[in-house]
Amino acid sequence: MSRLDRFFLSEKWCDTWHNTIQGTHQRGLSDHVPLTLHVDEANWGPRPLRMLKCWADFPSYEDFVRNTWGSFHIQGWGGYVLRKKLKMMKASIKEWHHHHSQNLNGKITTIKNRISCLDLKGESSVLHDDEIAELHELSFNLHTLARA
Amino acid sequence: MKLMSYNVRGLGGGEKRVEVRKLVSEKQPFVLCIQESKLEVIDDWMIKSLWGDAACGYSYQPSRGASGGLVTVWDTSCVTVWFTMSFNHVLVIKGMVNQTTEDFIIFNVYAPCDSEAKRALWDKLSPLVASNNDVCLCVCGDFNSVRVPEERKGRWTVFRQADANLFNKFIDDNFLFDLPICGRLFT
Repeated sequence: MSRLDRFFLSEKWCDTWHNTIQGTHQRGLSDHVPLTLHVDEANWGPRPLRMLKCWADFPSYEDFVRNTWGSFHIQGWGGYVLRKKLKMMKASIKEWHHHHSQNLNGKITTIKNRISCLDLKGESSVLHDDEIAELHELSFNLHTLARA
Repeated sequence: MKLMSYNVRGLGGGEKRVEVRKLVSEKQPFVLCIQESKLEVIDDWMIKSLWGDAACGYSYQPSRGASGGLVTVWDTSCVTVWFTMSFNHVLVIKGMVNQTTEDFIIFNVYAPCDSEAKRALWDKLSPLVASNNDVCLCVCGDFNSVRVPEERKGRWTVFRQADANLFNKFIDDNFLFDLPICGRLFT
């Protein structure tokens, strides 16, 4: 067995047709394998990062990303730094997702319960300022979660 | 741009042509490069049996008796070829991709086994590749050479460092890109 057949390309070819892939096919009647050279536009390898659209509905999301990204300090050449940062970002977002957008229904129920609890209290007595502030915040969060 | 290269080891048998025909309809390459046709004459009928009824153009280098022979077929709805040239072990086509009007040049190569003959082939190819380095250039086929010992395996194959050195020099001197291979290690 040897690797005798192949494609060689000029730099211009690689620049013109990005993501060119050399593929092999099943050996047939010949003792050589048919080779193909094609451009795979869809295949850019594993995704470095993924984003759920609903995250952007949280007002705190943008700041969270900006601040977290800025807090990473990696030394090295650009490609390495980017790769490391994306990797760390992924872990941070996972954590953030867990606290913010995971189990939305459960969170909504919790907020609703707390709101009705405060509402009931307001019917029989006057609410403190901090309780009113909490109510506003809860209602704001409820709207945010409902949109997400 | 989609190419296919296949050392078919003889196109004389009908079953081989059926196999190529299947590959072509499955992969639909813009250009098909065949090595070792082992045929002295290629005609329209032969090409039709490989390519089907779709419009195509072709160029070929006759075999010497039962050895060698190169055929390059192209889809005229995808590419326009305005120049073909043939010399020992090599068949060249030069043209343009219709959709993008990008120029290209494709060398279909069937290298000999003999070391001296291979050296002569690299020497002949080098200036041609170098002078076309600013266009989309592809050198493909059966090079009958490997770059490193790992590309040969088995009892019946021998790795020759001197051959590999010359092959590597040809690739490096001409700034050619050697793509990794997907799916398997040997061809």
